[in-house]
Amino acid sequence: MTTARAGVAPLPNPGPRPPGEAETLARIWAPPRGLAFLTVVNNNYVGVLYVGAAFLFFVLAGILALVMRAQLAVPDNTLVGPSLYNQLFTMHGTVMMFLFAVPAVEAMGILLLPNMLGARDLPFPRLSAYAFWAYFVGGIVFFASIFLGSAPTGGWFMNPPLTTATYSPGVNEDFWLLGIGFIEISAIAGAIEIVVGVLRTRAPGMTLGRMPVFAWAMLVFAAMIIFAFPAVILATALLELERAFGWPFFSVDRGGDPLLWQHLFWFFGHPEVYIIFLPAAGMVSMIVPTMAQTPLVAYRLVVLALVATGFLSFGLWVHHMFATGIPRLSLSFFEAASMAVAIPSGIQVFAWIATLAKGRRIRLTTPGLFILGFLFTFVLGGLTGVMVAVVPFDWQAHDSYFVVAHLHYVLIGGMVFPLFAAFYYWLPYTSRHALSERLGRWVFGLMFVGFHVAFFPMHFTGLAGMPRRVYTYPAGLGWEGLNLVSTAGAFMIAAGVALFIVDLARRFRFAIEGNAGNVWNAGTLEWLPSGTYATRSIPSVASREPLWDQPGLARDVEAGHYYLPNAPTGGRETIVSSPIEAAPQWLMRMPRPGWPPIVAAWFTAAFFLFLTVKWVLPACLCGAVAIGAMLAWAWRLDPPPLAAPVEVGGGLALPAYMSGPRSQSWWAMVVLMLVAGSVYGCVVFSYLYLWTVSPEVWPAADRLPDLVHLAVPAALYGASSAAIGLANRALGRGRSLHPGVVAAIVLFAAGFAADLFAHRALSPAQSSYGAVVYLVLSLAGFFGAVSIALALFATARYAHGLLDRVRRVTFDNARLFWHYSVGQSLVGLALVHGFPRLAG
Amino acid sequence: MESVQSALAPHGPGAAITAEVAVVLFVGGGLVFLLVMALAAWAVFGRRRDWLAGRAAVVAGGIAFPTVVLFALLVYTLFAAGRIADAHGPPALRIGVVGEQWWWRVHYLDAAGERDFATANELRIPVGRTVEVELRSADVLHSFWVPALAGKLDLIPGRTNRLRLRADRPGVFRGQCAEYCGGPHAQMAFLVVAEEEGAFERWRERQRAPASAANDLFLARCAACHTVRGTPAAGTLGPDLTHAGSRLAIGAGILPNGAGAIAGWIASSQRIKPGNLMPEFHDLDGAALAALAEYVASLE
Amino acid sequence: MRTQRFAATALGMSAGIIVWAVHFAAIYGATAVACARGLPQLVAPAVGWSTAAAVAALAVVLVRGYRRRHVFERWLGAALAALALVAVAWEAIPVLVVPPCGG
Repeated sequence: MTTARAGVAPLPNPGPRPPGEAETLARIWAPPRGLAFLTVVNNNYVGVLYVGAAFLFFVLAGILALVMRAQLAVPDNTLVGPSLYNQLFTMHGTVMMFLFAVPAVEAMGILLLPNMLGARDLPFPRLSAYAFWAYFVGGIVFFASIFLGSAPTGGWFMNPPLTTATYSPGVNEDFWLLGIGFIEISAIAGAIEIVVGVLRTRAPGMTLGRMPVFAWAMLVFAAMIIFAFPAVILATALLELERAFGWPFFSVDRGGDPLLWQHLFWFFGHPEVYIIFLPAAGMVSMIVPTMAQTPLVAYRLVVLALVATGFLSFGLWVHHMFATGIPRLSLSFFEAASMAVAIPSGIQVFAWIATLAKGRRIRLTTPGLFILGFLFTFVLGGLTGVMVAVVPFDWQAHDSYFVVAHLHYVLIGGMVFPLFAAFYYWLPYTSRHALSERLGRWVFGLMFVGFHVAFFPMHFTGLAGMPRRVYTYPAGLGWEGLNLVSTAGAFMIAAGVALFIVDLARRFRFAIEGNAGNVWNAGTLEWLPSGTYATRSIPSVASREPLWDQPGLARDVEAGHYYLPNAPTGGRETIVSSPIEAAPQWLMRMPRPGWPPIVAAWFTAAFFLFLTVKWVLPACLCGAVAIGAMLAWAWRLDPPPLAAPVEVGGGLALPAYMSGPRSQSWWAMVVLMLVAGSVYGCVVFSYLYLWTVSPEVWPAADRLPDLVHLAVPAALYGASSAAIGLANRALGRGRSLHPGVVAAIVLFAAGFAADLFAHRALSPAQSSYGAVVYLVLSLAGFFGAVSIALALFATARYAHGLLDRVRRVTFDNARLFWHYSVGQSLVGLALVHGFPRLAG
Repeated sequence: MESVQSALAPHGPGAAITAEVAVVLFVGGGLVFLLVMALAAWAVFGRRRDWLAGRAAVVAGGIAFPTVVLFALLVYTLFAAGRIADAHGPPALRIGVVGEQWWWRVHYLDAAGERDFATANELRIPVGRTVEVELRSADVLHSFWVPALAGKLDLIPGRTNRLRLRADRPGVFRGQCAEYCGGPHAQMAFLVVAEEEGAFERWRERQRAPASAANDLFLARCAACHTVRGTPAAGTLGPDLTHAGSRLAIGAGILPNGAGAIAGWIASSQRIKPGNLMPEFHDLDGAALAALAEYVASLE
Repeated sequence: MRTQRFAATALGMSAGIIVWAVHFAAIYGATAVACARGLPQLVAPAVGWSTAAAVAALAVVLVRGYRRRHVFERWLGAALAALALVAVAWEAIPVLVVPPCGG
């Protein structure tokens, strides 16, 4: 019976729910027991594991910093020599930036977003599990290198020529490349999850304009990863190619340039710090309204600020290179852009101030203290950021302790303090008990005071002439007192963190159903009563703070009166909705826990580890196991379609299978192609850059291969796309895939052979021109191989009757990727054969 | 020896104009910081807060205010950078510096731009005259930073960067490599000594002259890497020692010069500067070591 | 179809800031190549014309966005274009003050 409520839509499932329904839901979503618990894929568990691992790396990297500060406490100290110190600061930076900062905010997204958006889980739970385990195992092995004396020593930014094989012949820098590889995988996987999750699995009625600010922040975070990480992926690949095979991208004697690395690395490196900051700002935008018990003031302006910062941050990278001798006009463009990016930050700061002003009396709980500490510290750090954006000032401050001060003010102030606020704020969501308020004040006090004692003096230390990355310094230059104070502050911070760990051990007891509940009286959906299945039913929302605006929401959700109070297909499901209006579109069936993702992750980690130490045979064996596990995993993808749509309530019947542009896997593939395209954009940049700086190694137009070597591969590549198109048509008509796929494979392989043949006289180790042409060729080959593997996989499924006219997601993935590979190869042909003719 | 290595103690226009910019940045930044913190405090603790509690405050404080202030700052700093360039003008002296792991190879250029003489780890310049330093690298990235005189500029393999600086007062200014270059990067320092014109000319004349004497032990053990002009020692792997005794420091600006320090360096440089590319000479007995050190110290 | 409308909406929303990105790439790229190839006289015209084109494009985006500003996505697109206009203007100013290929 529908209960009519004035001005409000009737509940989708108003009557009482059948007995046993909630228990069935709980059983379907229950985590595995015993050792099999490791195979868990549910975001509630993976998120906590991920946050825990990130926090572990924070503590480990922090300990490295304490050793560094102990060494620098007095001049001419002999606690640590340069060899170990150089490993310490390289590891501190690398672990903090790559193994703590990005994973921590990504993990908060994984933990919070589904519940915040009204979904039961992320769209690709096994991918999250894989990404977590690859990151955790790879990260631990990477960190262990310091105990073997094999830790990298090139700084976290690894500038060549120092990091080429000539000046760093050992395996140390290869360990860095290993460590980074894991983060690249996890970050891309995370970006796919978050883009698809935020855009496609929101509660009905949660339009883009009603989405929590944290979801906007994570969407921008993911988009930034898509366009920024490719630059470091390419840079690290180029460095490894140079170290292992002598391809001279960065070596001047053969037409390379060390500055190519810096451009690629900082094109990633600057957005990286906003990738770290924006999610923290998003968390602040969730906590401040709760503190003030009033909605966020100027929501639209805050969203504008997040999106604008995301874009503008890609125009700042050369401000890390102001001292390289680039002409002053070029530098000035970046000074101007660096100032422009401060405006969106100003918008956010004033939105928070306005929200606090709007609230009634603010109770200063521990999250509130960390928020105020964040405001104080981050604003100061942002102001010193404007200072170092000024070119002549940066010529003094660059590579000195002034920058060390600035970066810690914005990273600790702008990310660690909000993270601790988030720990105190959201712990009741995932634990039976909240943390202690009394101890929390001590944790905050020690960390806040300790931070400023440690880092404020560094502004002066730097301007007094102390450069960065120095294992010791002489007496008599006025640096002794400043360094001693900084060391004292560092140990205060450590005391605060230690106290936090003690409290965590005492009070954190993981719980989903029995969690401490909505202790802050917050307004967003993650605070609804929930179980392993998230909420009992999926609510529809009509505002930004549903818990404040829809009284009785918690009760109705828990009683199953909203959408999907059960498991109609007998498995794990969630509702997929349209990206802008969040109108329900179809019901996605989601995977249960299983061994293939974790096995794949462990053996992927082992594969890269063995390659790093150059044990090729064990590497190949582990690689084979990893691929086998991935095949086992992929074989279970794409479950059989159900004939009839499924009732979810409110008269809504949703299809339980979707292929084509509405499916989540299509969207994942689009994100992957954007990543690949960004990598290729960086390749095109590298080609044009090397041409600009080393025209002497570029061939004249008449020394290029004849145009037939452009036409033939292009025709063959294009024909392979047509063949895949034919296979697509055949599938749509219920006819065999085989002819089209086989033709496509043969054509692509022939095209690639012709492509390679054109450059048979060229050697990649001889000049940077040879290296970059072989890079283009290698990518054509690599993407071709992956496309062929995907096509064969789809064909194998077809042969086993697991793929047909309706059930066709794996073939669509292969098709999309095939067309991308062909397109990319055609661009490569045009670049290599066309550009020198145009420019020469 | 007493030396200055602080950007806040400027002794030339490059550092002085930058210090002026720094003051503007600190005072301005400090005021903005205090203002924003006052507003935040008022938002939490203040009585009548309604004026701060709406979209208008966000637009005024978060958009209008930063736009105006940052625009003014941009224009001011673009002009300030131009003033630094203009303050130096055409150079009266050109010096070539090549960065090595972990020391500075220096050669002075004459009026025609040809090589005049070589030295290492110390630059002497005349007070009040613009000097242009040509920066190159023999191996990895380094950076030339003498904060009391000018901002820094990197030494990049394959490129020649040019830095103009001028000392307006006599003094000894310490500089350090400011781009991590591995190993004992922390101990790759140098000195810039600014002298009155007359003293500088006399120093230059002495540097041009060959060494006063040769030494057999030096020729046997050191000549493979070091040059002493006027003797058969012509090695170029390490610093030119023709007038090493006239320098204020050894080891790339890290130890005050003197026979005792030189002896200690020859015997155990790895303990002083771990990882540096000069081997230790343990097999020299005390007398030989002392004699060798006396010889080098005598090369004034 | 909803998904295609999303792509169109997202691009429309980002149009202003994409103009900024293209302008920035153009002025930095043109300056870098011109200075590397010893053609400083090309810098000022390149920056000038790029800026004029960017401002014109942004004006179009702003006017069209202002008309539908009550829709969240349209408002966001217009606001991004306004911010992009500030950034484009600031980035062009140095060419008036700083010599093209000097240090």
